[in-house]
Amino acid sequence: MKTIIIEHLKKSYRVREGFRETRFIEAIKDVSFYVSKGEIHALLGPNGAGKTTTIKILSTLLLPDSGLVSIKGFDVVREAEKVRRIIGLAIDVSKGFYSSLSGFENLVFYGLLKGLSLSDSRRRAREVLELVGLEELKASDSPYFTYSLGMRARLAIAKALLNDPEVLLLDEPTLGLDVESSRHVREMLVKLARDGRTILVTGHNMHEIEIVSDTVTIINKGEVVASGTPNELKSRVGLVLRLKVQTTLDSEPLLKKIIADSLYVKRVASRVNSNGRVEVSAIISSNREDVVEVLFKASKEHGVKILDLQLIEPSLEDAYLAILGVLDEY
Amino acid sequence: MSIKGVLTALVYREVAWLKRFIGDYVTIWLLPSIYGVGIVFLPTLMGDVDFVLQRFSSLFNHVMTLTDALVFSLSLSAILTVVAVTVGDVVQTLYAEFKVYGSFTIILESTSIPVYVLATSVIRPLIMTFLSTLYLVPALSMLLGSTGLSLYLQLLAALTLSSLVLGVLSGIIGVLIVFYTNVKRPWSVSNTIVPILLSGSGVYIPLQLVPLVLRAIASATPIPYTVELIQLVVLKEFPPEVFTPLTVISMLFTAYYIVAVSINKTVDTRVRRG
Repeated sequence: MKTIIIEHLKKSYRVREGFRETRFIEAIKDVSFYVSKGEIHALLGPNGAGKTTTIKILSTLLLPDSGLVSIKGFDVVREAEKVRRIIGLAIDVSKGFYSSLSGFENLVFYGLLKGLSLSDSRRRAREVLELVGLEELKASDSPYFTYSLGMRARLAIAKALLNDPEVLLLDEPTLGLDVESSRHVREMLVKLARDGRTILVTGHNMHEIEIVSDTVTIINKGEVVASGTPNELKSRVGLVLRLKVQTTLDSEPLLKKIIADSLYVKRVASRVNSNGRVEVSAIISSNREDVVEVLFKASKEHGVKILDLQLIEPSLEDAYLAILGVLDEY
Repeated sequence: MSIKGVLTALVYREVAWLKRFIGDYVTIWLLPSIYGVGIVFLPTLMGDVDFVLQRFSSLFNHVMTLTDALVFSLSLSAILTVVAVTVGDVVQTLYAEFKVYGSFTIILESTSIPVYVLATSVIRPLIMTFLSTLYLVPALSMLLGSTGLSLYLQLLAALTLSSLVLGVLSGIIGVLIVFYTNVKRPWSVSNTIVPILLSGSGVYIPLQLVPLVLRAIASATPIPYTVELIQLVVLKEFPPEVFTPLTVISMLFTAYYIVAVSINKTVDTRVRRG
């Protein structure tokens, strides 16, 4: 079941230059994707690609120029009130709260704005503060201006969860978080998705995205450039393996020749390391077993000395960079 | 989302702020009372109290006793507090929410700008007018006995009505500053507006000495009519003439409300279009 549907979304911003001239910037040219119920979907792209604009449109903060955008069948323009009731939003996690109010007071205020009763707001505020670990840090009653970036991000996620939303829209929720906090947030997202919530998340940390997301959409310059599961994206761009072999100066030419002749190689290169060894690296489209067999053969039959070996599975980051055409192959 | 929810949220936030900054608030509320009494009795430095009372009696065409003068000066001080608190708070809070805290996201994702700004323009003045004039209860009771409380309630009604109009007007000014200007220090604007409105209304100095332009600006606000109302309530014990300033204040409220709704709707559309 498709919970979030975006079809041919377009959005331009009007920028005033001087008194009379106006310029239009196309933030989103044509974006279409959907997110199924209970799925964690990552929206990726470089800065300025249109990720935050998409999240803002989904959360009714911005109006689209054209296209269909709906959440659980509610149109974000015509049925904005209904959409607001079922979504939770975390955007720009470093700010967005009253600095002199405590985390608890900020959440109660938000709950009341969202239409919860005072007692429900207070109860939910305590629950979500506990869930994100701010009660544990004894920070929920301290003024917001005393919060670290990690605590602010946790509070932003607590706010998103306050009205027990069916759909979570999170714009870079782990931005600036320390390792422990990031991990906490990741685990929380997975748990929330298991509970049946649909999550749309943006971010730049590909490692994190790869761990938590079920599906990914990559947008660039306001257009979708790829969409699918992380594995689908990796195989779609033909990235199979990254090989790094350390050898001696004598063996280097032969090893490079064997690799180039026996495997599906996109690129092979070498460099001398500071320890005098030569590192031969290659981007290979062959499967893992073939690579291992060729290297053993080279060692056994041709006397190539293999001093160290690394066979790196491609990551989502590799796929992402390859899709955007900026992958540094060495 | 419901207007009730927005109003409850704002009351909650105001109370939370009040609890956190109670010392600051009490100072802001009490200082004008000293100032108000000071304005009236400053001429006693040059002459005696009887001289001042004589001048006041001829100025207001009403024979004044020392108690009358004290009651009048204290009552007038309340308007200083209400104007300062209403204009400053509404303008600066709106600016901080939209330009500094970034908390407008919370507002935009929960409600609309017209509902929020109008609710802020009404709730803050209501709470602040009541709290900032509470000092009048013991002060007037000490001076007038049991009738002091009755006078306080009449003053509170007049000041509340006036602060509602000021609140809506401040909402309009705040929204214009936030969305249509590049002002980086909104407090400099509100700090300028307050003395202009007060002096242009004849609160500090006799109106005859005030430049026409200031009087013209002030006449578009409820303050001169509130001053008139306070004079009538304090010195003439609620005569029928009070209905004239009351009518003008009500008309101003209607006019500003219509303007505020229109501007806020335009701003809401503009913000959501990006």
